[in-house]
Amino acid sequence: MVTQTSIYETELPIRAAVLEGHAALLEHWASPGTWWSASERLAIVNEVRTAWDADQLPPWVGPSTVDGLVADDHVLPAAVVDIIWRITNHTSTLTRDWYDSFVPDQVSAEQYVEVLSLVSMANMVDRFADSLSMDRLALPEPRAGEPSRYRPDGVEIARHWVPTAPLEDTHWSPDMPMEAPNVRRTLNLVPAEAAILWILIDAHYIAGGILSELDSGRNWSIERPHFELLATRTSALNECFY
Amino acid sequence: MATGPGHGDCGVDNGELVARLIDATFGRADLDEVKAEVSSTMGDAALVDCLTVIAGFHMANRLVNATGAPIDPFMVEPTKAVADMLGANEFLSRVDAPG
Repeated sequence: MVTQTSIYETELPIRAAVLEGHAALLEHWASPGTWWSASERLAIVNEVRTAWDADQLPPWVGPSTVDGLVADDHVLPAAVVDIIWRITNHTSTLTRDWYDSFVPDQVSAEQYVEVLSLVSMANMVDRFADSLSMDRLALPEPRAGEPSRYRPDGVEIARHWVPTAPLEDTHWSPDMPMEAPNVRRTLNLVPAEAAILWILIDAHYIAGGILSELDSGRNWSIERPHFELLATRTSALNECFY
Repeated sequence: MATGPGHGDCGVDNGELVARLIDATFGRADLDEVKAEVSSTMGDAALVDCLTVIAGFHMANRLVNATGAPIDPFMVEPTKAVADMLGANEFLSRVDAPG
């Protein structure tokens, strides 16, 4: 069992919600997923670290095409390794054509969404640890079990390249649900990934994604304008229009 | 990257320093030096909170860019006001996820 007090060796004042979220993420990674086994999920996280720490390849060069870069007996399909490296190291270059080159011929949309979830969250916790000069999270042993292969009802290709489902957000007011922002819909083709995403967004940003004056002063040492500056400039440097 | 150096504090307390911290996490400045300045000026909790938000956007940016998530309707007009300033209309994510 991963405990939140054991995950980082530091005296820095990390908010409890962040520690709880990261501890939950470790448990999540080490558990059988919806479309990938626990061993495969941890291999995906490990591959994010390999990609980030490697000498940079041009965006158009997949690591599986470079002799000796990906082991022949790698637990993951070559296409998945290529997806991991591209999303990790070249997030500004992702296009619909790039997505279509993998989905559905090489991986299903469901498999892709689960990979994307793991890659994005691994990049988040690793960039957090790296920037605070802490050791990255130690990965647990994988748990036995088969992927659930659960496919939700009501999904369709609507606003995103990947299928999504309509989603309401009741964080702001349980009595007045509003349409959830598109970022919170990205993973709801795989509900188990969407669930951990909401926990992490709430821990790393603002509950419900709403820039409330009240919320920005409640649990944080920075104010609402800092959130907006951090969000805007980080997104600009990642060349994310959203 | 298209983003320029910014303009002072942008009306945000210690905004220039926070912007330099963001830039340093992208390798544009010495991260240890900027972190020390943030700690001494804003405190350790603010340093951790800033890096918490930055890390969160490393996740969110990848989710959005890798799924073609379009900008939310309530952000269309506010974004128009700053997209040119940020060079954001040149991003591939602008082309592939119009909003």
